Amino acid sequence: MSYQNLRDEDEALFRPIYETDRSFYAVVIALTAIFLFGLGCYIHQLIYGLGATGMDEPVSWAFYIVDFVFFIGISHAGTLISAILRLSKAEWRRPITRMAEVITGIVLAIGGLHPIIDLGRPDRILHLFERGRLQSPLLWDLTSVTAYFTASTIYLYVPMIPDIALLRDRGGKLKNLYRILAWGYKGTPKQKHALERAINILMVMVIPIAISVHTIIAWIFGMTLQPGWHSTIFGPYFVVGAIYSGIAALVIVMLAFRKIYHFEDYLKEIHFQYLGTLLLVVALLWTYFTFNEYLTTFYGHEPAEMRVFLYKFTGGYAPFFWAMVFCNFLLPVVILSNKKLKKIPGILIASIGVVIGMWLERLIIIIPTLANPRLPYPTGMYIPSITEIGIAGAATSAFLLGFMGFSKLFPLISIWETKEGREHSVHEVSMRLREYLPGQLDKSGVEASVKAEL
Amino acid sequence: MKDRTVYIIQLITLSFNWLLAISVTWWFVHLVVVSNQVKDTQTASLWISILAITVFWILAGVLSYVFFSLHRREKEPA
Amino acid sequence: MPKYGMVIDLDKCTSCQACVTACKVENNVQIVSEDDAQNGRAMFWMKMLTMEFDGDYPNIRPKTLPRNCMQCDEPSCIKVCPVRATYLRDDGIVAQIYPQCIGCRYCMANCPYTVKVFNWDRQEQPAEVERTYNPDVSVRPKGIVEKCTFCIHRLQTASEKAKAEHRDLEPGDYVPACVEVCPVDAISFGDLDDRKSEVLKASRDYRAFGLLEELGTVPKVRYLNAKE
Repeated sequence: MSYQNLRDEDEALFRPIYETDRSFYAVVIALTAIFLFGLGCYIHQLIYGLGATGMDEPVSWAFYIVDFVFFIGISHAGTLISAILRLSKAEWRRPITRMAEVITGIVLAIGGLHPIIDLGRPDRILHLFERGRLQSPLLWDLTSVTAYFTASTIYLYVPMIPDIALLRDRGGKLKNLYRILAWGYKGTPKQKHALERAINILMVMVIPIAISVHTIIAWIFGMTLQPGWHSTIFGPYFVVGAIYSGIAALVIVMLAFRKIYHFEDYLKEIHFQYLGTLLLVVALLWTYFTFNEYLTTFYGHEPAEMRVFLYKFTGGYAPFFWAMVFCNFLLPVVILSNKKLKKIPGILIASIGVVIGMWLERLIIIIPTLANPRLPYPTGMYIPSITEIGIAGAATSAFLLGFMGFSKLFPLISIWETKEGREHSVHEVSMRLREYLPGQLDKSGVEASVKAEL
Repeated sequence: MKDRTVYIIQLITLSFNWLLAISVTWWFVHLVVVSNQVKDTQTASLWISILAITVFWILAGVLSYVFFSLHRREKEPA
Repeated sequence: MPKYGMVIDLDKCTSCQACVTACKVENNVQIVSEDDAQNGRAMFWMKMLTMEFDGDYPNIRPKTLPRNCMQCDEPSCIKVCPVRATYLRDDGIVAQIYPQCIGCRYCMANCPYTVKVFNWDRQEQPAEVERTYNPDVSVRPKGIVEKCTFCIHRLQTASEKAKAEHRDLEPGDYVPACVEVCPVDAISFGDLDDRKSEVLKASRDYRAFGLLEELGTVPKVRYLNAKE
């Protein structure tokens, strides 16, 4: 591909890097304020101890761990989905993958910090290195999150090298940064080949790592003896939930930035409809897992398990449970299986519902079990304190700030992949389609006919 | 900036990934040794560490592969 | 090596809570503010649990059970601790290393008996309490997990005393505070490996049971059912 004529065609994708609205700065200032408030909350917690939170004796894990599981779940949007789409040669992936991968990187960093926020003595964190126990699921988690973060950062960076090279060739702002990051990419066939090979290795590697991350997070709970947690289904159940919330978050972010940066030409309704179909499939899968989990508990009717079960269905957490069922099952399934509703506003509503519902799902997995210990302890209702809410707000705004910052440095939609799609894939896909059809493939004849069509 | 400076900075950023892989390995070996000393389910920690160390080394390897194959082209005449 | 165990006779127990108080004083367990106690942050290593209520109002008879750490032989808390802040000693005591704990509270989440307590914050203690701190037990800082250790400092003192007197540790040299203080001698304590010990005999009584034994935690604190 030649680099010069690229500039004009996909100028819209470069524009966010070089032009910044005033409203952008206003949003940045607002988000920074929320972030600083959360930071203040954390400093307050450092000084006064975890007493600053709303946690108490049986409910000894709460908001932070819920947010941890939730954010790590969101991170599955990215790398996993983009790897699966790349692997299955889904052509509509091209404008989506970059954003998905960026979400992963940022959210993973934020989610990974939550267990440290949750520590009573963060100053002793180095004990993990000195005297850590690899037998503890927390260490597995630390390892797998680090591995996933490394893998997904590399997986974000490597396919971005050609775009960075484009930015470098344009010159202008931050020329030296792009020169360093472009790694001397000039678009020669050899370089392209090496890059493609690396992307192929990475996408195969990233999938098991991503699955392992959420499986291990599920094991933190599954490995315990507690009613409602000690379940073999938890690994896959959490992974499905993670992908579910991930796709929904991806749709929301894509729609927001499509609006802000005027990417309507690149992210068309069809992309969202395909993502909506994916969301519908995962919604049904998630419902299937949830049904399995609760039906076996109910039929087994073990007293300790039933206390947790009833706490969710009719007890203190019933409003949250039924809200979750509405947000995660009724709302998305009704909207996404209806052709009339499956337009961009509908898909947006379904996605927002799913993100809220998945957060509730993490909440009702973690807290009811802790609130109903096996022995008869008096338990109150857990109410989060301002500190916890402030830190959750800070985490969300840190994500948005990170994403906005990224959009000012690098293109949010992969330019070279869009270009490649336009120049090569139309031909390649027609060839591939013809290959699927019965009969012998007459290559030269097909090529001629494809050219004629174009 | 000179090409040489750029190259050195690139090498340094790449070496961070190797630093990560090596320190993870070192850390895990240390933990396995400790778990051996205190006789605390040694096999479990051994298997976990073998699995994790491999992942980090492969990742660092892939990144280095990309780096050096992108740079090889510069030295050969095109 | 001895293996320390405890048997609590619920038939003798009058729920007077002397053990609860003695434990709190002996181990310098923090006294929290009224607000915190209302919010479920009261700290007890020995706690009186109301298991069930017999009869109808107003003739209710609560069935209580004093619960300390079960000192399991297969402790779920040790299994999950990421930093070895809790470990099983050769004499069967599940000990805590306070300076090692990072406060992740995984052990609290995994203890089926909900035995562990967390120092949510460090509050100023009444002057009388500070004056009567037990010098043998460390005062725990905020942000770490603690629990009953069978008054392990008493074991240390007793064995050092025995060593100084050039003799072996004898039964009765070492008893936890709750055992010592019980007015009705409901708690027997001793070496489960000693065939002649009273505690072994009691633990094999037909009334004996372990709390949530079915989970396979092998608790070394056992209970004797109340006679009807």
